[in-house]
Amino acid sequence: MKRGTTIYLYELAWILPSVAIPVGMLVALIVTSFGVHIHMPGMEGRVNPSKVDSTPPFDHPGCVQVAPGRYEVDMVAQVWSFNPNEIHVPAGSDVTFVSTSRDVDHGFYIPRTATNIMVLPGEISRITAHFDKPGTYPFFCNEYCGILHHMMAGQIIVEAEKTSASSAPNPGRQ
Amino acid sequence: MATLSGAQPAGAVPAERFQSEYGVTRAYLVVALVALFGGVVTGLFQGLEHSGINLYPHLAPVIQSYYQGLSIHGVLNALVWTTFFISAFVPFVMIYSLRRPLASRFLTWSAFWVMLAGLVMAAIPLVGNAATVLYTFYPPMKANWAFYVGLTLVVVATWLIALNLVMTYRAWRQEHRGEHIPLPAFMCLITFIMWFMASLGIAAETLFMMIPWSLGLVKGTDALLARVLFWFTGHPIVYFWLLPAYISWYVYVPRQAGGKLYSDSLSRVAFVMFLVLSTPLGFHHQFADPGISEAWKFVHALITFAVFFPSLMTFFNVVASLESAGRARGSHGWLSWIFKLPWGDPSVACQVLAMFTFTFGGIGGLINGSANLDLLVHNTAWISGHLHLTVGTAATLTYMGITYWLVPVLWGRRLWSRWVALAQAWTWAFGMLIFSHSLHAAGLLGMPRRTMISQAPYIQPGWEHYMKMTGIGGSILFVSGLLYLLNMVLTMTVARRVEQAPPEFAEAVSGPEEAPGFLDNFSVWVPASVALIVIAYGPTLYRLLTTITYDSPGLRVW
Repeated sequence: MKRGTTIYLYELAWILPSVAIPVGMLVALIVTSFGVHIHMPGMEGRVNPSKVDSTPPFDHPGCVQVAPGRYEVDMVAQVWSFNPNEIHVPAGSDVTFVSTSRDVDHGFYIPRTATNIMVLPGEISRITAHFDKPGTYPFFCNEYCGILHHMMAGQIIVEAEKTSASSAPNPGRQ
Repeated sequence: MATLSGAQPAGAVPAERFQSEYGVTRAYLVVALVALFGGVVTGLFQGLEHSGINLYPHLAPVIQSYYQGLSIHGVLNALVWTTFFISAFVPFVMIYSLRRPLASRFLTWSAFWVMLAGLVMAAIPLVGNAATVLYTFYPPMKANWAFYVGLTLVVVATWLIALNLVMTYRAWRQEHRGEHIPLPAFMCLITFIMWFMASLGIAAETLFMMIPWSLGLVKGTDALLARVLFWFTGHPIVYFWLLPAYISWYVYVPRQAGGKLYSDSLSRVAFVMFLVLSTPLGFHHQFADPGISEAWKFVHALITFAVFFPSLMTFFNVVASLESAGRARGSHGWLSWIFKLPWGDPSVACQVLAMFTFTFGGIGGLINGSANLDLLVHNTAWISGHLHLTVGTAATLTYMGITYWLVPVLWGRRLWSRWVALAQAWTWAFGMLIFSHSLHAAGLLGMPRRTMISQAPYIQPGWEHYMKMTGIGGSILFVSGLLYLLNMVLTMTVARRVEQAPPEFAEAVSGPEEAPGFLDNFSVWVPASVALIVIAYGPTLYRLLTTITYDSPGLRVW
């Protein structure tokens, strides 16, 4: 009886932290999701991959200002490039990337950030990033997409002066 | 003190009764080792590429590109080495646990031949550069149809094994009404029943999407649905790799180390939880995917945390068992029992090192499962680092440790060299710590996985150091892998002949008589598993199946 009791005590001493650790992680997840609003991608609608070129907004890929300090980049991923692959925005902007793929699975990733989303044919992906510091931010495909996958990249140039904002959006979309 | 396997020690079963099983186990192991050889060699080329030594131009007659090498590496190591090893080991444990041969000799051998035929079919396009789609084969990337048919046959073969195990159990049950299933057999059954349910996703993907599409019978496919079906199987396959390692940690290692298993009932609880919780969590591989609602991703994250619990149970149970072994060997201190373990036994050394390394794999897995936190590491080298700790070490190094006794038993010879085996165990663990640490760190700095990174135009500050370290760690792993295979081949062919029985199953401090009977009741746990899968996947699958138009034509991109 004594032997059994000791075992149960040890088991209990292990079970409690075993429950506490996952529950603690879950609480952290709930707080960061609903409190800090760090969201995962969700459902944004579908698009026929063979009709991407004629489906808005992907018929005119580019960067467009949607409100003061807020930009939308409509982006088409294909083997092995992004269109557009160079994006200019002023510092302090919120930039929403709306993308889809014309062919196979791709990824859109700005290294060392949570701007990390799959870009699949048939699906619309939407993710927003905030750029405070001026500088050049690379982005690249992080899902294997063929023999030149490692060449599929682009950059976001965040400019310091507010005056450059007017040159940033794609004039065709204004 | 209770014995797990019944009153008599397992060694008392004469091996002659298991002649057919010994034969098929040997056959599976030979294929597994050949696959591992291919995986280890292609792995070296990848590690070297990361450190800036690009050998692929010289390999062109055989391996056309980095990505073909990567596809071969993934398929051979993650799919072939694991599946063939598991198909060898688990039925072997089963027959010793129930002390009877497998129910159907026809099923035993037809499973092997179907699996081998599938492997050959998949290997032809893979080696011919017609299936450079990596082992996840996401459409609309389109491989040769034979690749998908081959993989499907491998899965079907595992179903035949599952059927044979269940039939063997039922035959045993006829003669042992009201008894607890011996723990090793219970774990074997859970492993294959879990796998059967989980593999339905990949089977549906290949049978209804990939095969008709690659044959040209249907025009298009859908990327997202294929990913959902793939990860339906793609995470539980991790448990299909891990559970056989856990079986060894629970029922052999405590005995091999000179101790006892801590708790029989706790082991059963852990395995029941693996059965119920392994499958309904695949969306945690798709946190970054569009087209799946965030709410369902949350549910899968929740279940991912839940399945961490039985792994922690395993950790407690196995470490407590090892401690009992160290104390039985004369240790008195808090931690000095670790040094008292039989480190001179390569089978124990491999498996204890695998457990140690797996601790980091488990912690990393909890991070990956944390939904929005995963966005920081999704598809970065961090994930490759994680996978090499789990399947590449927790599973693989344990499998190696098992073969250090299993191959001598099956071939009736001594292990060729204990010292080479010990060197192999430590070089694998050490090489993997360097390799995996580098990938984790590089991933946090944003380095992508599955990318010919030395040729990429966007190499960021800090990556290059870790890329070099990846090459160094990979080279150590390559040497370790060759030492292992050399030892195996020489054990099979030239080592001194000696007949020996497999190790006996560990006794339990707290035995099966203290385990509640309902734990053994599959007619409760299997429906519970199915129900949870239907809840977790049903709504999303229903929505996809009813709304998707299969309009991705597919193409060859390599």
